[in-house]
Amino acid sequence: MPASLARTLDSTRFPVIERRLDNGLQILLLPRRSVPAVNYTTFFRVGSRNEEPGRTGLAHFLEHMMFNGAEKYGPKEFDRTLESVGGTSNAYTSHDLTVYFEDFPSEALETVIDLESDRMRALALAEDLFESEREVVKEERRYRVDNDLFGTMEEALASLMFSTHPYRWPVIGWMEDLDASTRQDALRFFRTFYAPNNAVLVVVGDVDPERALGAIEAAYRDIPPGPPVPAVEAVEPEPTAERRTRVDFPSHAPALLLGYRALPATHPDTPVVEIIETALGAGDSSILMERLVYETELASDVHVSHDLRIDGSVFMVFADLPPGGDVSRVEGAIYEELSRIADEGLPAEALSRARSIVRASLLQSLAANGGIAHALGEHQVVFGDWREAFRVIDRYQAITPEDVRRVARELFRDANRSVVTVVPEAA
Amino acid sequence: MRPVELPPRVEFTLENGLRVVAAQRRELPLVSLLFVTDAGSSRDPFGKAGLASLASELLLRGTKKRAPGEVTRAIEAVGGRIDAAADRDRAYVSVQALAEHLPLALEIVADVVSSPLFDPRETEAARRRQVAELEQSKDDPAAVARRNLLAAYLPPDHPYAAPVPGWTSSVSRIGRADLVDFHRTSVAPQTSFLVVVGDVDADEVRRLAENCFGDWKGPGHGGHLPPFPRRTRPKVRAIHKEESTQTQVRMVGPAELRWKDPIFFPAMVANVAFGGGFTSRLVNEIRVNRGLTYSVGTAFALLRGGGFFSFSSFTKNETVGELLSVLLQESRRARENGFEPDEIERAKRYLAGLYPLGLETNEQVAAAIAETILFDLGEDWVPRYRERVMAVTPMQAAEAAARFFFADPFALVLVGDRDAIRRGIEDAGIDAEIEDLPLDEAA
Repeated sequence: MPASLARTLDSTRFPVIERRLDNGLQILLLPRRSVPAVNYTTFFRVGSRNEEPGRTGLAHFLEHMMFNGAEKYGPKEFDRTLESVGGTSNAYTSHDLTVYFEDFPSEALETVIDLESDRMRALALAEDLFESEREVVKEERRYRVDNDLFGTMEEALASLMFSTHPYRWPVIGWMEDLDASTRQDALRFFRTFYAPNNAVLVVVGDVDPERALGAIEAAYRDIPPGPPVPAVEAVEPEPTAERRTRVDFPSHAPALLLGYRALPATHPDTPVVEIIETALGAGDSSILMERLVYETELASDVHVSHDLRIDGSVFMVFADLPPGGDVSRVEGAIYEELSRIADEGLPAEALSRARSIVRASLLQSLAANGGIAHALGEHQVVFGDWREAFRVIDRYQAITPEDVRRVARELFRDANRSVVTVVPEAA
Repeated sequence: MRPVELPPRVEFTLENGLRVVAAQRRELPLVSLLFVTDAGSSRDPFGKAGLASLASELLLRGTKKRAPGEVTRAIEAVGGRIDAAADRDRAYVSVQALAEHLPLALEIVADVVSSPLFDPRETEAARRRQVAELEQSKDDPAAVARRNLLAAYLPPDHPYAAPVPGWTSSVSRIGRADLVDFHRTSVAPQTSFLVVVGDVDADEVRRLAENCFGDWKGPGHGGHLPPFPRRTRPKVRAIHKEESTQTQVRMVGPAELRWKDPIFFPAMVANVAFGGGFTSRLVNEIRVNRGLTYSVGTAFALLRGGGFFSFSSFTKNETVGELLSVLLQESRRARENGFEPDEIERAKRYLAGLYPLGLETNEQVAAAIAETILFDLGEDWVPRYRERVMAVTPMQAAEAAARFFFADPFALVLVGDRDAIRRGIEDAGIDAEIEDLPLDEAA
């Protein structure tokens, strides 16, 4: 590894201050003065995996409601107050986490602390706003899933891959559940999962650490802790055969989405899967881009992703085919490449290339306050220690061709695969 | 407000006319290169739309000394990334890499811009890929709407009418000779510049740039764009898409606005208050109060040959008319009455507050430096940006709204179900020339 990189990616170069309040709230704070701005990110350990059938989409719906008024700052006041101090805010919900973040000029820190602690303490969930927000979420679903090729395919893939675990439903939820959810459901969900003991707050940027910590503690310390969060107990049975479906979607060209059940995010072999992901799909000179797009032209584009999840990650390969393209040939070519890795591991050159890319992307993500906050927070929530964000670099370094072979052989088994295709009717 | 500064920069011009800017930022051992050249899609000959886009993509597919595939292989092997793209006015090549790979990064950029191969097989493959991508884009209603925006407003032969990647019909007509000719006449040192930002030393950048770019020659060219005609009547381009449950809505109008106009900052502030910010009037009226959509936005696009103002949203089939009515009504209200002082105050603080966030990474700083060069904005543009935003008055913002927020006949692009579109236009009482464009001709 280049020496400059080794020095930079050492966790001791990041003087993170850690605190835990009596109510369980964990705080990570990193002063950094590159620009006069601050990123303030709150991670809640809740996502669609914590939902119940019939009420899918509730975690994401509640994320929307978090912007619709609490006790001190009423409806519409969250964003108005934030924008009037020059800040901006957004949030996202995944299968495992719900994350809220603000970026703002340094002098707005106290306002942001006030806003965020207000909605953690006492969300209003006003009835009329709940109804209009329901329509907004349904529009989001129409946009992202119902009228979108990849969204439709991804939803079909989850239904194939999982039969028991909540990962079988989409984060945005089924349309009928969005219609069925009530304010009471949302309130119960909020009380269960949005307590300080289920949250990690990360502040990165131009702050005076002692003053910031004092203000945070004063604002959050009277928020009572919630009950222990119910564990997700569903265990997905091992797949015994390949699963396959053809989705009906009015499309001009065929498309293919493969999913393999991968390891839990905290599994020691997860970095090996990340290396395989990078070798296969990151950049135009990756294995699948070269083979499918440039050498054979079987596909016009390929995306490889590895969605890290607490109860079992999902490894996906998505290929866009040219009109009239042959899905089975694309599948065949992909399986050949995956089998090659399972049989032989990765050639030294490909392994070194993948290592260089994952290291460089980690470094790139550390160039902005928001990227640092995400790296620290995600690792704190998922691994229980933000330092894991840096330790992974040593893990990448230690991976051998034999590790790659062993992990790929288990991952790319036929029985571990689910396949979703879209083929235009005329074809 | 703590001042925002760009890192100190060293600027020099090589003998062949290539301007180079180096700015040092030492926090991380990274470097970002941005090469900008006057070779955007507005230089595409009529009937061959997509040429600039294809030419930029092919820069990365082989040079006289690197076989196809070797360009990306070389930079990705050391964890770097190279991208090339065109927009309406320019083409770009950018590299992100570890700072220690600056010599390789600079050499590759020089190689791809000065001696691309346009290998016959690669050229054919790239053209097939571009046609395939355009076909695939027909399945993405938002992409269809976006690509038809200026085409709906402008006459088809205006250099800005076609979308940057072209149409399936025009891309099919592009041959290798077109690409070679386009590159020879459009990409030259005199009409290009290079920005290097990161953990680098300006003297080293100069030495490397002289080595790598020194022998590059090319004819300069003058950029000339015809002014675009104003519409005299609103126009609707309606694109029917099977089985849509939602309609994509885009509106565009002319906005005669340039970066250095006195009304530039009032226009930016008025846009935030109108549809650009999350608490803007349009977000409030369309999303928050009525639940008609998930996403609403307005934006200026300031092109070299003239500016545009556009609106973007989507809604379920049943409420297309309601969304359009609110948009027209709110546009009129903003043009006639401007904004409340507190709306303008919030918009100003929002714009000023967010400004430093666009200057965090080397890539962002390189883009900001490029912007100051492209629009001749002067050394004080970045440090004084926030102060200029904060000086905008409600009266000035009202004037900007009156001038730019769909004051003139507009073009509307609707992508979705045919009947929902027709009903929506009627419900909103829009009197316009209506063009029904089959989806197959919309990409």
